[in-house]
This record gives sequence, C-alpha cells and structure tokens, in this order.
Amino acid sequence: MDCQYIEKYDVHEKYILGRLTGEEAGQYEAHLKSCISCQREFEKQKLLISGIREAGQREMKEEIRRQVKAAKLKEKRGMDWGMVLKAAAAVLFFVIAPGMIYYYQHISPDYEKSIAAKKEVKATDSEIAAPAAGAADEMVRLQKTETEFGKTLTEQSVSRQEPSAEKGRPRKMTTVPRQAKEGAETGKRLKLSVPDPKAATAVEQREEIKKSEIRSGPGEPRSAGENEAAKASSGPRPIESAGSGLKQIRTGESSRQNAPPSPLRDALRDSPEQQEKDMARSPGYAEPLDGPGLMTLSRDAIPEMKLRVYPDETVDLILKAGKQRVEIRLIPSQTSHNLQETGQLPEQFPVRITARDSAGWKMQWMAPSAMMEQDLGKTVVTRSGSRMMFRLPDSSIYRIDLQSDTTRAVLMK
Amino acid sequence: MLKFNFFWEREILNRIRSNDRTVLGELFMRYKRLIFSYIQGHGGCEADAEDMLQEAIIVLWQKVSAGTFTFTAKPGTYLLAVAKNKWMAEMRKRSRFTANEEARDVADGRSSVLDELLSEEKAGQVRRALEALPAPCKKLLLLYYFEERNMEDISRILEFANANVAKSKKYQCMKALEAVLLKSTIKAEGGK
Repeated sequence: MDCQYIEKYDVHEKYILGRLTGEEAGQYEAHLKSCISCQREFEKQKLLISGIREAGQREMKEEIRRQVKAAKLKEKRGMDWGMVLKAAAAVLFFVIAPGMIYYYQHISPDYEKSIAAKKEVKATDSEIAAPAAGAADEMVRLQKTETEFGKTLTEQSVSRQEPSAEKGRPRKMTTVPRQAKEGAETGKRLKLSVPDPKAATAVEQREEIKKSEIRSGPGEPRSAGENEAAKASSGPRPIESAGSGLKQIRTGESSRQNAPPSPLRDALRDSPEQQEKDMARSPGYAEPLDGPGLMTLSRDAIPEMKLRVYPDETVDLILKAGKQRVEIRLIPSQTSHNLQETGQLPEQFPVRITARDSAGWKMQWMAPSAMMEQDLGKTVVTRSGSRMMFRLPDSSIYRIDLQSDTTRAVLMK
Repeated sequence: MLKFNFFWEREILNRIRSNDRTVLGELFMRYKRLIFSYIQGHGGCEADAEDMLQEAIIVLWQKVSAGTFTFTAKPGTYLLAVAKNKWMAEMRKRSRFTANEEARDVADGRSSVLDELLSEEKAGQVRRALEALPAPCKKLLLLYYFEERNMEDISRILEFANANVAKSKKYQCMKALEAVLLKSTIKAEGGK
C-alpha cells in the first residue's frame, strides 16, 4: 500500500469509518507510521469527519429536543385530535356500528311491528280454529246497498294499493269476481256499505267505512226448530240489517263459557261453509234486508288483520293493506226489548244470566234481530237449588239452570 | 397489543431507513420513562438521562441507517442497552476528572484534557465551516459521514440521478468544506 493507492481509493476515510478489512487496516497502519504526508492527511480527514459527526449529533439532538418540546406543548394545549379521531373511529366501529346493527335487526320499529304481527297471528291461530285464516279472508264482505247506489252489484271491486305505489296516488283496483249465490249467503253475515269502487279511491272507501255507524234494530224471532238446531252451534251470531247506506250490525250471544262474546271471533272459528250452516240454524238469524250483491275481500287484499276485543264486548276489526287502514267497530246491542217479543220463543234457546245482585235476575238471549234482555224478578215462579222457573207474558213457563252464566231456557209448559 | 408493538417497531425501523426524522421525537417520548428511570436510578440527573436517551437514539438511527442494525431485540431494549453502556462510560469519564487526577495529569505533563479541549475547538471550527456550506452539501456530508448511509440511499434521499453522482458530489462538498475551513483559519489567524 502506497500514498497513491491510499489517495486513489480514499483509504484514510475508509479507515476512519472502519470500512477496511483487518489486513488492509494493518497495511495502512504500517504505511502511516512511515509516511508523514499520509499522517497529515489522515489527521485532516479525521478532524473533518469528527467535526461533521459532531455537527450531525448536535443537530440530531436539537431535532429531538424540538420534537419533544412540540409534543409537550401539544399535550399542554389539550386534546390530540388525531387520537380523538382514532378513539371516535374505534367507538364507532366497536360500539355504535354493532349497536346499530343490533337495533335494525332486533329493536327497530319495523322489527317490532313484524314481531307484533307475528304474535298476533300466533294468538289468532291459537285462539281460532285452523281454518281461521281462510275464514278471516271471507269474513269481511262488503255490500253496496240499493238505496245508495240504486242497484245491487254482483261483482264489485276492492281497491288495493300496490306496495310500490306512490303516496297519495289512487290505488290500483283489482276486481274480485264472485258468484251471486255466494254473495247472498255471505250477505247474511256482515254487510257494509261502501262507495262505488269504480269511482272512488281506496282512501275514500276507508273514510266511508269509518263514518259508518253501528246500531241495532228490531228483528223477528225464528221457529223453535231452528232455535233447537242452534243449540249445538257455537257459530257466530252477527246479525245485520242495512238501510239508507248505513251499516247496522248486531252481535249475537256466544254460548261459550269463560270467553267474552265476540261475534267476529266466533265467525272466525269455523270454516265459511260451517258458519253458513250455523248461521242458518241460529235463532238469532235474520234474512238480510238487502238483496244479494256482497263483495268478498280476497286474502291478498288484506295482508294484515288485527282484532281488538274490549271488556264491554266491543270488537275492533282493523284491516291493513299497504298504507291503507280500515277499522270496523262492532258494538254489542245494549237495547232491552219488550217482553211481547218473546211470544214466539222456541222450546229451548240459549240464554245468559247477566245479573244476580239485589236488583234481581236478568236473562239475555238472542232474538232474530237484537239482543234481548229480560228482568226475571217479577216472572219467577219457583226456584229450587240451581233451577229456576219463570213465566213469560204469553203464559209459557221456562226453566233455567242457574249454575252457569250461559245456559238454556227450556219450555216446561 | 404485542402484535401491535411488533408492527410499530418494524414501522419505526422502516421510517428510519426512509429518513423520516419525526421518529426521533416519538422514540424519545416512548422510551423516556424506561431510560430516565434507569439513569436516575444510577446516579444520574434528568439532564443526564435526557442526554443518554438522545445519544442512544442517535446510535440506533446510525445503526439502522448504515444497515448494521440486526433486529434481534426490541428498539426499547436496544436503546436501554446503549444508554447503559454510555452512562457507564460517562461515569468512568467523570470519575477520571476528579480534582486529584486532573492535578496529577498536569503535573505529569500529560495533556489529555487540553488535547480534548483543542480537539473540541477544532471540531467546533468544522461545525461552523459546515454551516457555511450550501444546504445540499451539508446534508450530503451528514448523510455520508454521520449517518453512514451508502451512496444509493443518499442518491435516493437527495434525489440524485445515481450513486456515482452522489459520490462525485460528496467529493466536491468535502473539498468545499476544506476550503471554507482553511479560509476561516486564515481569517482567524489574520485577525490575531
């Protein structure tokens, strides 16, 4: 190794930086001992490099101090918004997002609605016999009265709004054809006056139905045979008579014990065919005042149906189709009738004892067109144990078993 | 958490390699408690601890920049080890500078202290000369001699065309530094 080689390959620098191999370093040190100019160059290089290193070190220390000072100042100033944002993101990710997912999946109003609807369906299913769903579809029948529309329709339309229909837009009309015979039969059940569907929108129909009133009217008793046949029937007793565009509904008496009388619910218990038969046998049955021309709402038209039974036996039937909602209130008759109407009572008929207080005994039964009520206080002939005999104005004597609220009156004489 | 730390440490090394100087402050703040507790527990004051941590960080920086750092330990462990060694050396150095030893050195004719002062003075002159250089020159010299980066790294950081350009630039800057230093020395001697 000579001075030229050292100069050419920067051996001074490499030695100072420790980049020479052991052998090279040994050769360089040996040369350095004998070469004064190389010693001078080495000293110069060493001074420069140490100076640069020291400068670099000072500069880096200063840089660290500056950054630490800035960090401390930032801490003193308050929040580290970067950290706050990170924390917020973490909270959003771990708390809010799962919470929202949980909310929309479990406790959102729509979910609650769907759960409530399911529960109602379950309750209805358990309460009502198997064909209830089908019966429910056929339960609601609408009839257009001649007095309102001038003629009876054998085929009517039910407005139905498609789910995608715009708000406020007239709903799409779907026609549900129906046989006249079926209309005549179903007309015995429930009759609602509705506006002409060809001209009116669903909203108007709903308003019309809401405006309809419920009232009771006089009726005609039926024969004893029919009343006898009605004993076995647990079917519905809704009786109606229509007039002047107003809906008139009278509810019958249920023979079931421990359950509030509910004509609508009773109607849902049996299949439509059975209900028709039951209705025909019912002592409270009355021929429809209007002719045939009933309309049946199909199941598709009523995706949601809700029953609300009140303690006073009032029943609300709420039908929902899309955003359309129809509420029908069925109010039991509170009218007491003259005993003179009892002249054509059958040999046996279902009755209910409604009062056993000091005021005396009261008996209720279903007349063809109304709920009848009779104070038995003045008519009781004899009473022994749970049996009581009472005399009606036509001198006929009936016997009642008092052990239960709902029983039957049997003609004795 | 361990995984997170592992990635953070890896990231720190990558940032040092890419000459991200904001790492310096982060390292200081992160390992401050560790180093300070050691130094202050071994006879040092807060200033000593700060100095030791800074020097340890610089060593880590230099090792990583030069590519001689092997990731066998966490940066925290490495910094603590460096700080320990440096603090031991500092303690030894301080123990040498007791009054008796200093007096004996002067009496014996040994000029270790004076030599050190002289070399510090000379280093100071070089620092000042370095400050007088254009910024790219100063940066290049620091990257090469202080951080001991290779020419490829320097050409990448300073955006030179290639390593040869960086090498020739380094030679020119070294000559410029010598010139400035010579000029300042002549000026200082002429002033006297």
